[in-house]
Amino acid sequence: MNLQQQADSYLTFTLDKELFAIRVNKVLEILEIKPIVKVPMSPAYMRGVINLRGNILPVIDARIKFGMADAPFTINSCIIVVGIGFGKEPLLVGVLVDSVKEVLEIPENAIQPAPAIGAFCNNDLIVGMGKTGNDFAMIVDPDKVFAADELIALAAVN
Amino acid sequence: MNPFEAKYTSEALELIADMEQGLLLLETHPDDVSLVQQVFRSLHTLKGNSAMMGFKVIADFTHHLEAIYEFVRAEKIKVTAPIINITLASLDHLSVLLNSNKQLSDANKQIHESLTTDILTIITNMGNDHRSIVACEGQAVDSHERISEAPKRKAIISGIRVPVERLDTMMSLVTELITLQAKLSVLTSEHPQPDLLAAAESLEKISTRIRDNAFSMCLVPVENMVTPFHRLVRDLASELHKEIDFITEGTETELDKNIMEGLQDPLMHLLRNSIDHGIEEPAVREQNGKPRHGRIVLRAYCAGAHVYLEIQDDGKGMNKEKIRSKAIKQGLIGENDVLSDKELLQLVFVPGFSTAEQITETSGRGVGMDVVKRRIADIKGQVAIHSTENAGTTVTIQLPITLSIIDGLLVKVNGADYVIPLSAVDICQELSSVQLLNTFSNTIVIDDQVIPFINLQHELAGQASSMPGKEIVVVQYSEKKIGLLVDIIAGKFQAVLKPLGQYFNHLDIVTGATILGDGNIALVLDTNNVIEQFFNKKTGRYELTAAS
Repeated sequence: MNLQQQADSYLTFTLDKELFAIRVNKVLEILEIKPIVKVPMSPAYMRGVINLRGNILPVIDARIKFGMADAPFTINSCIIVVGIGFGKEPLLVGVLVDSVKEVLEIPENAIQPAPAIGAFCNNDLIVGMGKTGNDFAMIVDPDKVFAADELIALAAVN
Repeated sequence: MNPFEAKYTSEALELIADMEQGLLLLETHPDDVSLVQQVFRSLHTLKGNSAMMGFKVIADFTHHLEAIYEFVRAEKIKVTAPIINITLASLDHLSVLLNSNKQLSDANKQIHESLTTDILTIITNMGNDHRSIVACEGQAVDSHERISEAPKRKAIISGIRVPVERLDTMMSLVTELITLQAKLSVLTSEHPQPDLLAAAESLEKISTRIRDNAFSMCLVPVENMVTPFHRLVRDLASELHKEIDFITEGTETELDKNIMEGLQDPLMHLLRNSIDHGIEEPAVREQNGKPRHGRIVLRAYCAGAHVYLEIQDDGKGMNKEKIRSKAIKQGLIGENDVLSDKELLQLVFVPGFSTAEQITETSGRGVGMDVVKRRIADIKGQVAIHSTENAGTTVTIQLPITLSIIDGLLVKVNGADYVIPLSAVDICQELSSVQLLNTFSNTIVIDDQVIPFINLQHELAGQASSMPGKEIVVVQYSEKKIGLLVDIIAGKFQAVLKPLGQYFNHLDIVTGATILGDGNIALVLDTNNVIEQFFNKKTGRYELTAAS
């Protein structure tokens, strides 16, 4: 797989029947659900922290983050470990999703800008709509959506 | 930089630090022959090393300086203030040279020349001209041989230098070991085989010893950081025309090197405050019936699981009325609020608060004390301030001995695990044995003392759980005792602190997390912040929270 292909590869996942996609080179690994410890006094979408091989990994609930209703875990629920930022050591964060689908190649010309109105959730979260066969996957940029600064700013507002 | 040059540089900088220390002592004991010898020896070594490495600029410059001390050693002249001033300035110049490419540049050429002239003037003024010194160089070498015979190191190797990164790696490995040890203890208790139990027990003993040893390696005496402070007090006092004795006590007290690094700036700041705002001008002091010389004491001592550092001055102290009116003006407190002296003094830690009427070069911009407090909080310390008008101010800093592993009390709240640092814990009680639980004012009576308590179930989750709390942990909060109601106390636990990361930076009540033997995570509580937050919520005085 060359660099261009890697840049065009996306991991798709679902949240409440909707299909989302995230650049594969941002994904470090996929974990099954493990016990999550809730951290007090943190925003609702901060699900808590987990023990990732002796290190503490914060976990964000993507459902709540995207304004969807909370739902119980299923057998398909999992945590995508995402690296944020481009530095030598990216900031790691777990993103809780309903299920992980597959890795797809979505060439740039198959990505349409996100519709300005009518989307079910905040448009800032979606950077584009990628065509995957008959379906569209909403492409999420983790640097924008799950960055710590933004979370803290939001926490202050809440 | 090649390895030889790197070694030379670090050695040279060390020599300079030694000399600086020696010179400052020499200033108060100008007749101490051994101090003169020490300075001379260091200069001589520095000169030799520099010449060997081919750094002619440094070697020549040091040679001139050495000539002065050669005379002092021969008792032809006495150490005077100008000599010490010039030597200190020269040492600064040498450090600059050493930290750059060791050659003269446009930036430092001027200072180099003016210092050289000054040094040569001193030498010529002694009635000898400089050439005769060059002539007696041979003699100097002879005397050097004599010196090197005298105080040789007693042990062949009493210590080795280890790069800090290696120490850090070792510390992180030790913390891993402790975590693994906890896991092993859980496993052996599940499968109790005699052989396994014995082996696990021995391993536990050894890993505890390794831990203690590794910690002691990262401890450095406070002594190591006070030399620049001596210099600061000296320079600043003469700049402000004040006469100040700076006394250090208990500098053999040891602290974790990471804590020490974080402490440098806040201490500098506090000292500056004392010199600039605390100690009065000599004339004013005499008028007030105080000795001309002001006194600043830096005191370090160990008590319990904490190290305390105090900076005490006998200056004018803080004017409580001024603080009060300023606080009212800034809207921090109400006109009729009744505050204890202690609470009033805490207000100086509020960002933007400064009672100094003039803004000076040194301090008084009001960006000081809040930064000090925050920096010290970063290294898990606390600051308190005591002041009596006209008698002086004392700032006390309380610090943990180490940052990475803490002894804690493992408790359960709403079924989740939390660790309360043992250093804060006063006593633990079962609720059933506690007399008189007053749920209206949330107080309990333990040993005839009325103690307010906080229900952690409510504090940490927002609602009380179905299972009422059964046990109470009484913790120390400033001078007060506060009870924390928890589900149950699970036992003592050695917690390896892991940061929660950037996502939780805004969270004060949790200092970090730790991994338990069974792989679960327990959050480590900062009891001071839990209590503070609780009280702030209750009284709604949010301005004060923002400050602390």
